[in-house]
Amino acid sequence: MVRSYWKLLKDLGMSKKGFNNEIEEYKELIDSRLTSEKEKEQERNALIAARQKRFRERPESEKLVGNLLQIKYQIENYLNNPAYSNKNSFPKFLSMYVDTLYKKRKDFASDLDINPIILSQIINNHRDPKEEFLIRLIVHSQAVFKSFGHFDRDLWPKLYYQDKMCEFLTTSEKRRKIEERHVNNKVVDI
Amino acid sequence: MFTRQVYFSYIYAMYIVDKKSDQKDQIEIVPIELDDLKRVPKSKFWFDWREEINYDVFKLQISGTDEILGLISMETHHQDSRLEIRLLAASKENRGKNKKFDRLVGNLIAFACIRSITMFGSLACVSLVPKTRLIDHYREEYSMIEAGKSLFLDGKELLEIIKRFGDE
Repeated sequence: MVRSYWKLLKDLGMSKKGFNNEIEEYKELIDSRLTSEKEKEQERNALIAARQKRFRERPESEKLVGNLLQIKYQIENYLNNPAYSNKNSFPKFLSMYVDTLYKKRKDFASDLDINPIILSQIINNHRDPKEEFLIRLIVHSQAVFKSFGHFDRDLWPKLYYQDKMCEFLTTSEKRRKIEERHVNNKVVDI
Repeated sequence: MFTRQVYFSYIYAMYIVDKKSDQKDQIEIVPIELDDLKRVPKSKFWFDWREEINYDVFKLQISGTDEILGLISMETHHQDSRLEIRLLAASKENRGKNKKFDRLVGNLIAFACIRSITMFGSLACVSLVPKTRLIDHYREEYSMIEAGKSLFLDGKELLEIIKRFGDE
């Protein structure tokens, strides 16, 4: 004999309203912890199989959006965590951006109307980008991100100037002993 | 610091909505600190969050305030390019029909998606194991996909969640 679902709940001492309230409350709680290693492995395999199939069928444009967002979020993370500063972040992220979008870097140079040799020197950290390059890069990035998100206009300049700041702090520390000899503090006597 | 990777402690342009006033409040999702553990008892956040010390735990709060409204614990499976939501909880007053704020859970899931994209780009994936009777809820509300007992987000569905709750 099949008993009604709500009758079963009643027998368990739970009202229909109480059950629904409990379901509502659980919507804001997730507990994914699995204790059995066998179960973990089964879940992992099921996920891998389902994802592989979906990835094969995924359009390239969607993959490109994922990779571009990755660059943007990594730049934002980097700028928000100065402890990880390094003086080559601008060329590193620039090369990631260019290589994600273009098969050949000279095509990007052409789109920005700059000499490919200059682009190569900037990417290899042998030349500083001029202001006009930074502005063109901002315009390019904002146009690329426009269809699926946004790209703050200050990200590339902040990245560039953070590199400069990092470089200055490193070199100035080394030169400090030499430069200190040139400074007199005759006026200040506190 | 509770979280091993300080690298991900940043703030997004996300918001929650006060159900009574419809007012939007900007939020921040930042790593939990050891001192916070005293403020997240089981009576309010359902789980014993001290057990999550070896995982990446983040707290959700309204920007400029220190009241914790939600918590999420995640484990990164680098080999699988996947981020797993181990635990997630809204505070007691933000659960059920009479909850104060909307979008808490969505924001925390979107945060996991952004974090996964940051690490894995186009391969990004977020997974969880739901209670059986809530599978339909997560599928309908967050477009999650079933695999075994798990639900996951990747590709278009993952990007949609970021667009809906995140800053895109």
